[in-house]
Amino acid sequence: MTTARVGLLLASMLFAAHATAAPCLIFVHGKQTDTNTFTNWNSARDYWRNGSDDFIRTATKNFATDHYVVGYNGTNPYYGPDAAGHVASEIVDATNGVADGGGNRCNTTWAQGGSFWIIAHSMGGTVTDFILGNDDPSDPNHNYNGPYDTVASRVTLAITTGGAHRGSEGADAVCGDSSGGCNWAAQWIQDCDTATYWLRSDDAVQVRTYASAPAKNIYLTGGYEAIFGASACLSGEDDGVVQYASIFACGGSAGTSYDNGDVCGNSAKQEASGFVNLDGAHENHSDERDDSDADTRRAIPDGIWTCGGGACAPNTSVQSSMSTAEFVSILY
Amino acid sequence: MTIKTHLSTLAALAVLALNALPAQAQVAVPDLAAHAAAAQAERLRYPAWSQPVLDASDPIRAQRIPSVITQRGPGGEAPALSVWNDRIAWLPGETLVLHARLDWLDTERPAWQALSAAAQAWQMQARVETDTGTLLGTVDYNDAGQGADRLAGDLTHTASLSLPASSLPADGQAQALIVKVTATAADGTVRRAAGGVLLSNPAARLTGDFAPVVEGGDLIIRTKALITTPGRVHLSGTLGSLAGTPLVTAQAAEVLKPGVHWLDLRFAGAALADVALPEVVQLSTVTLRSTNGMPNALGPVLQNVAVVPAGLLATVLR
Repeated sequence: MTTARVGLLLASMLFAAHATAAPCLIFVHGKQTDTNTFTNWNSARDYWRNGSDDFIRTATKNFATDHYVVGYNGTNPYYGPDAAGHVASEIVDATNGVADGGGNRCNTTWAQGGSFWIIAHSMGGTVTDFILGNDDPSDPNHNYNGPYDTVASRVTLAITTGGAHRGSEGADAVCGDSSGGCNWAAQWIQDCDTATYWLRSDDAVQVRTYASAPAKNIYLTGGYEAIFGASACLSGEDDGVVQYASIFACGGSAGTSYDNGDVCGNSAKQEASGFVNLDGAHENHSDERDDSDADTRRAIPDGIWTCGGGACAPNTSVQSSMSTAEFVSILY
Repeated sequence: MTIKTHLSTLAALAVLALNALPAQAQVAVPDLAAHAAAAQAERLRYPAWSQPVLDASDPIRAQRIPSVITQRGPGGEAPALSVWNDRIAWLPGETLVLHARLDWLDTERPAWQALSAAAQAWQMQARVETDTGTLLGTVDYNDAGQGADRLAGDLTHTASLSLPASSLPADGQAQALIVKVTATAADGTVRRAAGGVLLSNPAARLTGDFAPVVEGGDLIIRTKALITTPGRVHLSGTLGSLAGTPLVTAQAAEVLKPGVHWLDLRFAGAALADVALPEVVQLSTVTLRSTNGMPNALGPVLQNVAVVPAGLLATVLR
């Protein structure tokens, strides 16, 4: 790359940093044990709340930022027509300024130059991988059941929190009839329905087997708040349902043990490019999506936090009281 | 400057746009949109169908290494049960080899003799089921060096399984199977773990014929395939050095009728120009799958199949 080219890119980045308006945040929930979030938008909205705590309120800076809440059938496999197919259609709707079930809309449409970020939790991350990894006609499952190419061309980036990119060892336990000691995870997952079956660690069901590298960057954050019982069933650090190897989309076996000091860096992901580390949070799988726990955040390898102008050493405590929702709010 | 260095530089530059946090002034996050924009600019230097390999790992080969799946006992009790296969896609006529092993993981490991004695006292069995719970077969593992078990007493228990043709999915289709493994100790203690395998019956097969050509500034490796059922196929491959270093990936998809076809696997000249190319390269890995639904019917990965003459490669870079 020539010096001139680096300069041009730098200029464009700095320009983007100062001139870009706040993105419209598009929220994609995780796995469900019933179809409520698909049939009733209020259930999809409630997914992001816990009592008076509200992930979307915090992430949007008290609703100052436009947003759109997607509801899909969280009992479908991630690639299903009512999962990835429906999510893709809703995201395109959002970029066209269509209102969600609660009347929320992206007021600056794609045609008007709007920018759009996907914020996905848990299985929402797997769905996002499938969509953004199958946008090009050369991809294995191009536009499989929805307008994946339009989604990929219109969104700027995705952030996943507790993303089940490599499935969940909790799903392995539930589907393998060995969930006796994994009660919290088992309670969350409940049974080996189709969605759960396709969230196992086995390569035959992994999204990476059926998608290419994502067309837009997928940024990764997730929790390491151990939950007695459940965490004993998961490898390395985990949020009680999803282990770090999956949250951070690591290559290799989905059950490899990682912690904040050694989780896979950006060059060791499930795809050759497109997955980027943010940080780890002392949150469990529920906290990650409901803003109920403002807690410690730690740097991870290739993570986003800088300390004194340089990359923070992995496992450095970078915040003592910040929820993932608040973290999202400072990223734009 | 290598591509990886480019990205590192861009990431470092992106950090210049800081949003300092009032609580901890020395700690900051960069502007994420700027970071994403820089990454996108880098991505757009190459077509989506052909990208340089940024690390030492061939993505096709890496994604075919079977995962080891481990499940601990109740409350995390040791030992845990780890299971894995010799392949992730089980094709017609192939024998699937299954492995299982008791692991003590991060808990205190007993002495080898105690470990060995404890592990060998367990009996292991697996049920292979479809996603709807239909039983396709059961197998018993052994660690006695019998059958598929190569080494007696190495604590890795092994089993093998073949399926009748009647169990295969239709041509061009696949099924994600679950392998439920149960290990039972002499005292009745049980450990369970669930692995799986893709029972795959692709309707597209590589014949082993390849023809490298240069066209439009790209290197194309024409790949001969036999199609047995009409439908969409996906071809992917990695160009690498003779020493095995992966360099550039390519992929293509087409809808084809039954018969013999030549498919173009096109390696972008822009990607080839940006990697440290040796004089001679080869198609390090290549695979063809049927993509008529989910799950896709994966085919085998062929390795080191087509050497590109030095003179031909030079014409791409000219």
